[in-house]
Amino acid sequence: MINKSNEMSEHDRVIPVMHIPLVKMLSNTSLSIWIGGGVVLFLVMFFSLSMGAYRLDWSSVLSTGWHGRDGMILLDIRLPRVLLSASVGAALAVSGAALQGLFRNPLADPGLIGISSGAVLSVALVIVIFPAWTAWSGLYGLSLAAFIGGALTCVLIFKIGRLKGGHNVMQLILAGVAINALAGAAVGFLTYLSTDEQLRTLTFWSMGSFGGAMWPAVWMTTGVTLISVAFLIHQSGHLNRLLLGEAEARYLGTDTDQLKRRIILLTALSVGCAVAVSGIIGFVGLVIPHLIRLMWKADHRVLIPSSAILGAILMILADTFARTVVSPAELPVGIVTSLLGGPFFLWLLFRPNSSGAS
Amino acid sequence: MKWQTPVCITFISALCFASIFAFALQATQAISAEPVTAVHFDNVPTRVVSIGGATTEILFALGVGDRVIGSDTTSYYPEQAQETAKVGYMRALSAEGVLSLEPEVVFAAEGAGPAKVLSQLQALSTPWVSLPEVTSLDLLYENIMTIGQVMSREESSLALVARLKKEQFQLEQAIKADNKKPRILFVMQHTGSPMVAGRNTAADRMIRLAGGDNVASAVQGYKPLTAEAMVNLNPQWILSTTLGADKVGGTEGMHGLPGFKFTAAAKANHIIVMDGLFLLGFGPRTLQAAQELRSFLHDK
Repeated sequence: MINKSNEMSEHDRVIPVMHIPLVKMLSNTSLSIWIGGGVVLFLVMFFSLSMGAYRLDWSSVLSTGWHGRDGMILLDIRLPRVLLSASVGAALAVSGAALQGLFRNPLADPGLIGISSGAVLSVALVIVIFPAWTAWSGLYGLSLAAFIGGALTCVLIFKIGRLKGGHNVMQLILAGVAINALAGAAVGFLTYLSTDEQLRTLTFWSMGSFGGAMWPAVWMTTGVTLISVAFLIHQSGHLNRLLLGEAEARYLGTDTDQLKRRIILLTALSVGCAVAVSGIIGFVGLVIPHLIRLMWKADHRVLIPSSAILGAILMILADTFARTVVSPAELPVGIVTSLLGGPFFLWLLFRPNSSGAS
Repeated sequence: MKWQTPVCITFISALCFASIFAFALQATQAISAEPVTAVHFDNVPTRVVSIGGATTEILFALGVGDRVIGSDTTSYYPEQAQETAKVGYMRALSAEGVLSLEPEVVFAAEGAGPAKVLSQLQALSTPWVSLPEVTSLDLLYENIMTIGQVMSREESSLALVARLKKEQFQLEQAIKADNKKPRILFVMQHTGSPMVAGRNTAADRMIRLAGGDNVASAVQGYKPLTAEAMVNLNPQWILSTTLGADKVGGTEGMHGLPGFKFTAAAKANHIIVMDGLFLLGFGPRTLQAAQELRSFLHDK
């Protein structure tokens, strides 16, 4: 008994755990992340706004304001796109960081809890079987379907994961694998039923793009992402405790079951929104948190805010590349993130003076 | 501190979505989803962007090809069309990309998209002429007249339609006269189980136009075919696109299709390979393609 309590107090000292009120959240480290990252993010946004297929005449924007042609292109096409890519990047990266912490598994990413596969399945259902749905619900029909499908699949995986009682992480992961495979099979069957046009619509949707960025989507995604980043930072102390192991975290007073519920719901919400507005964009959720762990540190109080900012920055850059490199056409941004991110990540892992993947 | 997470989050998400949905519905109402079809231009447009292979062909056939400054990747005929700026694949357009060409009019075949990009373009009042999918030759003639009207080429379009109608008449007479219906199978993709064209496909329409019988008309759309079904259908002719045939090493490679060697087509080496846009584009060269297909069927 005495030993155990000694251990506990030691953990408490090494990894101070707190219920951080929002004000205290801005401790010194995170304050510098927010300020430094914010400045870089702002510069990147400005850079991205100045790039594009259409040659913007800034003097015309200044003279005719938002109602001239150039002003409207800036305000209605480019700005929503930059903001949307920023918030989707942040949402994916933060969710990846939180899930990797929760599952204590470096391969965890938002796809694991079924959001992507559920979203694809539901979008495929709408495109192939219920085209009337998009006719009824208009431009955002596919987005809504994707969100509902992603969220339902995530809840299903979570329920199956705890069928045997408790919240066994291994069971949850395996349930995710099984449900993802099932959803994949269902999508395959729908592809079989689809016409040529439907198949192409589905393919392009699932490659991910910010091409259709409009203000309503921006408000929704930015709002949800900000809320979930704030809540995840609030939970970051508990995630740190979880790094020690589930039992240890429980000894330290963390309600691990509640933590799992909260984190899965938060990530389902924000990734669901991201997938809904932009389709499937791979790689970001998996790799951004690793970049920060490799280059900096694994403390979730730092990891989560900096993942958000780095995710936003890199996604803006990837999208800027996607929409300028083959202009006047554009690449699906999911291809760019994987194509540029993959080799960079490999280099980071195997660079000469790296300490390895740990 | 003890907030009920599930309740809290469900509430927030429901709220978000309700408001966004209301927003979206409003937005769709403000910007009508219906693209403009009849546009009146004071001046004849000189900067044209054309989306869709057949649309571009019509523009060139009407003699206004030099005004096409941009087109999509499906527009590869005539050769000059390949030299225009490419705005990407017709279903994956970029709003800024199209706008960067500063078009005075955009002609778009049905299926151009995605829908959100079209609504962005509409919000910036891009002059947009949408052309319905050609499921019958009458629709092709209508599209030619629409384009001719916008481009002030009424006379050329009337002449073109008259010529095509004459060709159509001659073709139909010839088909009636010889009273033969060769059994044809269109194969789109040759790897794995080959994909064949059933009802309601451009290939099916072309086969019927050329006076053939589509042996796969029992299925709907493009479907994979098993080797045994291929033997069972026993087509007299196999029809394919150049792109599809090249992937398996041309006509020789097509002999390796599962079940193929047991068909009448293989025994007689009856394989027809034609360019995809020419054969299936349903543009102004459609009747020419049907004639060519027919001449293959009757040469041997």
